[in-house]
Amino acid sequence: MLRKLEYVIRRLAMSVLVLVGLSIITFTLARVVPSDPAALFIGPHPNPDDLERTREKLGLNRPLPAQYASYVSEMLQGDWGDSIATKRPVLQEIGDRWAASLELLIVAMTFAVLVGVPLGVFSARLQGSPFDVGVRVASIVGVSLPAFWLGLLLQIIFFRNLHLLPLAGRFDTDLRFTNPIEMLTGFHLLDTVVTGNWVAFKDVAWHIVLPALTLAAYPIGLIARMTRATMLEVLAQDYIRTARAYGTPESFVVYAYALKNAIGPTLTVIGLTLAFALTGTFFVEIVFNWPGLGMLTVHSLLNVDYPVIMGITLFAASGYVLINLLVDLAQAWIDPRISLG
Amino acid sequence: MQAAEWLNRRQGFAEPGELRPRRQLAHVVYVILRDPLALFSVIILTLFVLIALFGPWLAPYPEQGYGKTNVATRMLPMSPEHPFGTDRLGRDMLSRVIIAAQPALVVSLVVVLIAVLIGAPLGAVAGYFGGRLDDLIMRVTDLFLAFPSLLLAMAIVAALGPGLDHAALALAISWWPWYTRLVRGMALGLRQRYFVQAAQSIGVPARVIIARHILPNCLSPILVQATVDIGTVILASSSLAFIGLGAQPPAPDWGLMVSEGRTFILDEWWYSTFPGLAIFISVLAFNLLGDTLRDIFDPRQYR
Repeated sequence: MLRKLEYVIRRLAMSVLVLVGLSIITFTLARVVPSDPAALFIGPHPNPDDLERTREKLGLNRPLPAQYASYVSEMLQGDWGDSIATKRPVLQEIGDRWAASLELLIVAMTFAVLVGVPLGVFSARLQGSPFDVGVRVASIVGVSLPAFWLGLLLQIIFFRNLHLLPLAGRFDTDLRFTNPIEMLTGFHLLDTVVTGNWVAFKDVAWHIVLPALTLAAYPIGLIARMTRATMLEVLAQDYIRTARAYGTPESFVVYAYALKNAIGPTLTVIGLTLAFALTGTFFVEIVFNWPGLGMLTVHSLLNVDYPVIMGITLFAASGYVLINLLVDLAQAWIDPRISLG
Repeated sequence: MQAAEWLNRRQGFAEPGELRPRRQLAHVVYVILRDPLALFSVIILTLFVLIALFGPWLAPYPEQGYGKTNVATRMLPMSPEHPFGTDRLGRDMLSRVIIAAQPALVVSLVVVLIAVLIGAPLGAVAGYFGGRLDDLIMRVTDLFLAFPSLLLAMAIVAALGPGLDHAALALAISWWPWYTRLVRGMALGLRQRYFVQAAQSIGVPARVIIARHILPNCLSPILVQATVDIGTVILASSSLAFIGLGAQPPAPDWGLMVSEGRTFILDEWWYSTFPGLAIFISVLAFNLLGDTLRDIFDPRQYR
């Protein structure tokens, strides 16, 4: 138990170190790389007074370590600068949109795990069969598809040709007048269920299908492939051979013994894919007009809204660190061998 | 993997990753010929390279491929004259897609080459010397790996300003750490081997050992990784172009073309479809080949 606690503390300390490193990189990109950061932070056509004031505020005349120190303290105090386009604080802009991105990410990853893990397990059990070959091809196809193109294809097929699913957006605009969604958490699926707004729930659910499918393609491929490799590795262990020698039914060997021991590594893979999907969200959002961080990024890129771009980078990278931390902690909790390492 | 086992037995000692170069090449060719998927990927990649080399001679309207507009042929659907249709400025999409193959391949090769040239020596040094130097190099590497590669690339391009050259630089900066980690792992094992210890004992300088013994022995895994990465970088650079950070119009770029056609997908669906298909097929081919090569060089990965 003590060992486990020690591991958790060590892992937490490591994440803090990584966050410090991240802040150095984002600081470098925000304040050191551009030739005149103040001009970028204030937008096009600045008047000289504003420019001088911004330089003063960013402390560009001071030595780099001092600049870095004030950068970190600003970030910690929640002062991430103001958007050039909307004049609103960057954190507010991010706060309005992160829930949309996270909801999409969670739905897509749930789907990917529910499809990918069984595919990998069956594939390992049927090693060498046509099914196994099919899964191999499908998973390589999954990781090779450009998300932004797959999204367009699905729109062409399911909206244009089959008229089955909505084209884009989080919900039908009419909904605003007929069954407005109450904003509690920003997660529309959750909000509509809590308030019993079933009409809106159905609409929101239909809207998330295509973006979630698009986003899930890459994770499904990676998860299926890695689950299969892990399962095969476990199935080659001595205790599995022993179990088989005792005449344990094969299904019991695979699903009870092997699967249980394959969960740890699979969890790592899921964490890794979650991180990949994080950037994937950006592109899927653009294609489906999904009002999340990805859309915000693209608008900011078009407007050269520098504070927002740097804010999103820091935010997403911190999210990535957090995901890695949670995966490692979950693994230590599931697999007692980890804490010895 | 029967072939590998058979070769092992014949040689009596080597693991598949350590076959002598000529045998190794023969083995790779043998495995690829036996695997229809690998064969398919090699054929596609050969075509890709040929199209990249001879694009201007293969394209029906090469000058349109490079960006010359023709208002008379705007937004034509697919036809024998324009098999992929035409775009909003009347350019033949087939020519555009063909001409875009060369920059896609060149950018990707350059990015991966830079990443290998930075990453591999760093990894070899870290793994060979160990200690403080190793700690320092690996902490920096971990730091870069703490960013999702594409996100880091996006932030760097945003800082430098959009453009294909900046996109390529940003991708190289985000890709080298993978090679450092890969080569360091190999170097850690290699420095325990007799031939390295023998070289050390007769006083061969460290830089010579790294250059002659460590790096050459890391070549196979680097090649496998690079094969997959060339595909991944094609995907990444077209993704950057898609959001306006990579190649700028009127440059022929698959990601840019998909982005231009996005507004028209409901009526002129071919506009985005064919350039996207080109990205997909080429990335798929690199991934399939990389997958086969990994099976050959890394027998621990179960097939």
